[in-house]
Amino acid sequence: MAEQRQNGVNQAGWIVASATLLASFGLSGLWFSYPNPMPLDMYVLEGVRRLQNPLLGVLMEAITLLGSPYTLVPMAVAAIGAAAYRKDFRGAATVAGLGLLTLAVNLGLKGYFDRPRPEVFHTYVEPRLDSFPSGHALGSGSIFALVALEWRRLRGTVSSAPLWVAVALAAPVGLSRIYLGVHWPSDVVAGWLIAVWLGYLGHRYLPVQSPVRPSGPSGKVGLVSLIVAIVLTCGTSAWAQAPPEGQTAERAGQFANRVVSRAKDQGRALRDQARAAAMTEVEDAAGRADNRARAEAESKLVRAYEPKGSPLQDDRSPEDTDGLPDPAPEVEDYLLAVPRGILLPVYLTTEYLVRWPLAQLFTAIERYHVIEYVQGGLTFADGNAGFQPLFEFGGGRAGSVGLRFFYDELADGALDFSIGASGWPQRNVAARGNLVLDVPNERSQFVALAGFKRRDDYVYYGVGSQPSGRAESRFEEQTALGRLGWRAGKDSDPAGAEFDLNVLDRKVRCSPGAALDACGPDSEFETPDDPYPVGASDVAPLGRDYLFGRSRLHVYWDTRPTETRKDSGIRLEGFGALGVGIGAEDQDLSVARYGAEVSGFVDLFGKTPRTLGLRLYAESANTLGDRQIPVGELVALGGAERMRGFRENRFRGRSSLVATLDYRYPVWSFFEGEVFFEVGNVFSEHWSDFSFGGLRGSAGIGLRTVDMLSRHLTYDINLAVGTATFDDGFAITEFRINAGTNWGF
Amino acid sequence: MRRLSSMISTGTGTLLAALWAGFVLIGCASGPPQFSDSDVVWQVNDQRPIEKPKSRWTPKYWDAVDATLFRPLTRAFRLETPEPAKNVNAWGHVPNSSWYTNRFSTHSITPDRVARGPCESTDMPRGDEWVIKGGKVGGNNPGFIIEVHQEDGSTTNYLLKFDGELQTERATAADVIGSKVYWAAGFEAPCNRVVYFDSDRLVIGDDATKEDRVGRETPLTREDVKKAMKHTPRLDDGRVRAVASKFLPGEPLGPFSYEGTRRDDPNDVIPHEDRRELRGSKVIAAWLNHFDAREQNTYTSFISGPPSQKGYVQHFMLDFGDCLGSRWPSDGMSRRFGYSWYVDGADMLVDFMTLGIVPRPWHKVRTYSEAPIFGYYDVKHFQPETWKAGYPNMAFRHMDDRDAFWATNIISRFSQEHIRHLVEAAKFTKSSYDRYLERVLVGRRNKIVEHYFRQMSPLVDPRVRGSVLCVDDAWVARGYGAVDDAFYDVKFRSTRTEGDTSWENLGRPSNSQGRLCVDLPSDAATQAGRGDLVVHLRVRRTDQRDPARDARFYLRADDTGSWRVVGITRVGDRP
Repeated sequence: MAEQRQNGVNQAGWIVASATLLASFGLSGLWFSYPNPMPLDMYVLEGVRRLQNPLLGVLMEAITLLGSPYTLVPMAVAAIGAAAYRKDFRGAATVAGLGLLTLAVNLGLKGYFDRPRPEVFHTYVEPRLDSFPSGHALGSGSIFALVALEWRRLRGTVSSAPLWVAVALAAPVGLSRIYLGVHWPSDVVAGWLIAVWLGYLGHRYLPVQSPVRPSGPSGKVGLVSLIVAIVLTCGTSAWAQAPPEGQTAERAGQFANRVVSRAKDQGRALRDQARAAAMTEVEDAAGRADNRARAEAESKLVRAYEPKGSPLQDDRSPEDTDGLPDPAPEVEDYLLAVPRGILLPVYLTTEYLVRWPLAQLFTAIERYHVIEYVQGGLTFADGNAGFQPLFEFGGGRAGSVGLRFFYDELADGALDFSIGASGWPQRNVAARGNLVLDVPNERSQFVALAGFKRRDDYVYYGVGSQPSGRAESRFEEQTALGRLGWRAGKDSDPAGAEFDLNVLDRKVRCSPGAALDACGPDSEFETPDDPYPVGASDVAPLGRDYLFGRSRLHVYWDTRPTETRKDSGIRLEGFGALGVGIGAEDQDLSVARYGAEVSGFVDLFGKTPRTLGLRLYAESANTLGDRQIPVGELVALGGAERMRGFRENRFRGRSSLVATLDYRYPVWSFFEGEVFFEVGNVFSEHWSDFSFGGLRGSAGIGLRTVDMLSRHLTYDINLAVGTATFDDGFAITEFRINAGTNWGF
Repeated sequence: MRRLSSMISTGTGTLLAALWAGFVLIGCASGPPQFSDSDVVWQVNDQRPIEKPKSRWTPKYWDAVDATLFRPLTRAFRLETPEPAKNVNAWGHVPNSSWYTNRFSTHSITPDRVARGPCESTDMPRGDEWVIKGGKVGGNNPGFIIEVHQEDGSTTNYLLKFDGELQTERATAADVIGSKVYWAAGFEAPCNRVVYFDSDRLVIGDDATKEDRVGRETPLTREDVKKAMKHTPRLDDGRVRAVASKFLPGEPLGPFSYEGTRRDDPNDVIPHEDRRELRGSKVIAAWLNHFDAREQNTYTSFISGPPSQKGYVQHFMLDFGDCLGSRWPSDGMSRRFGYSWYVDGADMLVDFMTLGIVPRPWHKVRTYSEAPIFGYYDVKHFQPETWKAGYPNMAFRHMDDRDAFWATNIISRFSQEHIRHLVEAAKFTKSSYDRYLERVLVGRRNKIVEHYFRQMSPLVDPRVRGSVLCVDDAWVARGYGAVDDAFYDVKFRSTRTEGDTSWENLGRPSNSQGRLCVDLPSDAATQAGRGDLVVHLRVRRTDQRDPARDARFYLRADDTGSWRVVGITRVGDRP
């Protein structure tokens, strides 16, 4: 079984290795079918050019030496020697054979593809052979892997650590070739892919056997020897690659000649004077044995000729205008090198996996006018009409989404019309149509409204200031509303009034099979401690439907002068409403409601929109006659208007009292922040059981849109908490996060 | 793996620490700069003939979102350190190029010339008919492309733009004044002129088209023209006011970016965010409150000459209609222009978390009854060092004190007379507008000069005559202060020998125009070939609390003992 599994692994390994090799050839064929250079190659090199940095350049030059023949050959020889010394002749032969194969593949492919080196920017490393594949990437990947595999074999360990070390050493070598501009990225990728294949061959033919009993020095000595060999070869190769003083000018001239002949091949004219001047600089730099000056002079030599077909292949070194040498790296450059290296993957991810794709997407959206097409479909009439999204989430209920259509400024600006609907799967739906007509030459409006709402996730907590948790029950309510009204005074006027006539049809269904039948006449909501149980003489059961007509008068007086009402001042409001039942069943139903609010506002910093407001609100609901008052006509607290730390209609009673302290302040042009603190509660008829201890609290913070999108629609988000009464310790009992529009549910 | 990690923790860690210390020590070593022997560079060769690059299109909204959010986010992970501008000569000036031409930066220009700006003449050439070739009729900024037929039969194309309903005369004035200011500062800008004309003069060309908001071209009709000009303010005699912007030369290539380089322009080798003129233009933008300084308000064109089709890319600044107090329909937004970005997350977060307690200038700005068209453009709340464009601009972000000083040096040359001529070019219908704008431009200029001339020494324009070095104290020479309020000190140093002299008080110069002259040490001539003579000059003002900052002039003697200034640095530069 184990052998079969091993054979399966070997087969899979062959397939993968062969696939990578084929992929490298296939890709190379694909790449060369593009006009050279390939856009992705050029894009990467251009990006690398912008990362050029003196410190990083020095580091990369050192790293690239690890992949040079002066390093790899001694390493391979050392590995072969160690294997032979340990009498592992198979290992020695394998390393030697695969090392030679690496060389052959590298030289063979370079000769076959004959790809020229990139000349996007000039660095101080001077390559000799052709570009594809990268010999450094291929050689370092292959030889490091072979050395690691042989080391494992000699140590008798199956640990993957040596292979990871090999990868960790080889990967930067490939990257350094790109950084130094001597290879296209595709050259390095191809080199790595071929190295994977060669590495697999090594893995196949250098299996780990039982530990070979050493007959000589221990493995540690061998490892130390290897490290010393690497250091020596790095130093040797650095020395070997530095041209002797006298040859610098000759090599500079050879480089220049290569550029000249390439330019000639393309039929370009030469600017002899510029060439001569540049050559003089090269020789001077060589005479000073100043490699950097030599490289810069060579760059000027390249620029002395006509640019090639691809402008990006020209040298783009800037002119030296300030007459100063490039500044040496600062201390902070060294100190920042490590965190930069650590954050590099994060930068690459955010830049190329987040920002770049978004840039392509939104650029295309803008270029092809997608937003304008959508706007053209959603708005018209110069923005006076269109569609707006509606949504509401939070409040302990199912969310809703919807759409509102509006058409303002009809009939020469006198008429605003809107209709909208929002809902959620199953049964929840709300729809409303609104018509506002300005009376010509009068500061008044007629209002007509029709609405329908049905939700099945309302929660009923009972009636009274201390509804117990046992009373919580879900119910469905369906409401149809019609309204005709008249509004006197504009929003900016100091005083105004509204009068409307409403017809309301309300139906309630409790959840079937619920533990408590909140709708039935024999409701079990009564508790010994609750002085206002449902089913008491003055409040009808929840499930009592009714058809109701109501007239309502609302008046206000506001001393704050501006339309936005952000100044200091006082506001007084009062309303009264009288409702009667419609139809035979409800003819004896009669409810009167009245209330008032007194508010004071202070613009704290004078002429800046940071206002502190204090409001006192009181409301009462009373039956006229013997009929019980419907639950829907009780005074309610909780929700978006008062006692916002609690759910909608959390508290129902015959009367209510709420004090609110709020502070509104600007956050942005279109956002206003609000912090509020409320104390209040519902009480029995005419506040007869009012006590300060019976008040409970509500507080929160939120954001609200102002001056945005539409004067009728606002978007809000807030966090709020609700507390128990003062008598009960004022502990936080509820927490709400709400977001939504003020239109809709 | 365990052996590997222990090996790493013992020996390798020590080695790395030692290498680190070595690098740090190497980095600590530095000395005075060695300026090259070349002449000061005043012209760079970035107009080499190239193949015509591709035209560039940039997205307006994505650029704003990217500049505000994504670009700063990704760049934060690069831990970039500020770098000085890269296209600066040895005197701290910007060499002439396809981006910039030294005008006010190095010499004075007459007020008349400044008022003419990039135009050949003050007034628009008289042509009988203005033929509309195309236009944009919807949106907030309608305009037409017109072809003006001259008497000699030639034609010239202009872009005709109008004021909005909200701030009549401001946008047209801003476009004119802005173009002249930027031109005088050294940038290439279009020739913009205010024109008053009878709308009957506009004739619709046979092939005139308009572009709708999704980019489709449809024929332009008389109704479209009427609709576009429906809200355009008119004079009592019915004439319409507009700004006529002459077409720029060359083949359009789209805007340039405020960062990076143009990949298909081999002449474009300096990253744009490292160009001094682009960085320093932030101060000019602050002066005019050009908050809409974004890449879509720049322009490049391909200038080619016979016989080949090759040429070079020329760079322009344009679209200054937002300057001088533009207001948008949202008052909350309009108040913030110049003080906060359009969407400034930091400001929003601070305001939200601090409950709006932090005092903000946009809460206090107001309009002025004598010139309501200028919105919230004022002096009182202006702070040049904290000014912000509508959204982040990479070049503006990279601006340092040296770039700001360079721009301030330019702005300080705009005298009261220059400003008066600029305002007159706007051809306002009410003298109260002239007075108000002149007052605000002067006031904001003074704040800029006051701030940045205290950051760096304002000693400029060195000249050597014999063994005397003379410089101008720009603060005094240009009328921002009195010579009696300043004390000058000098000390000398050599770049090759150790030590320097101590500060010597020069007192006040006898010249009341702010020219300061210093006798070079008598043995200085013998220092030829022995390094540079560095003349440290500093000015101390009687009302200045901060330590005086010095400017350093590097002089080099030739074989005959004649001196020349090979470089200038200021405190804040490299030592």
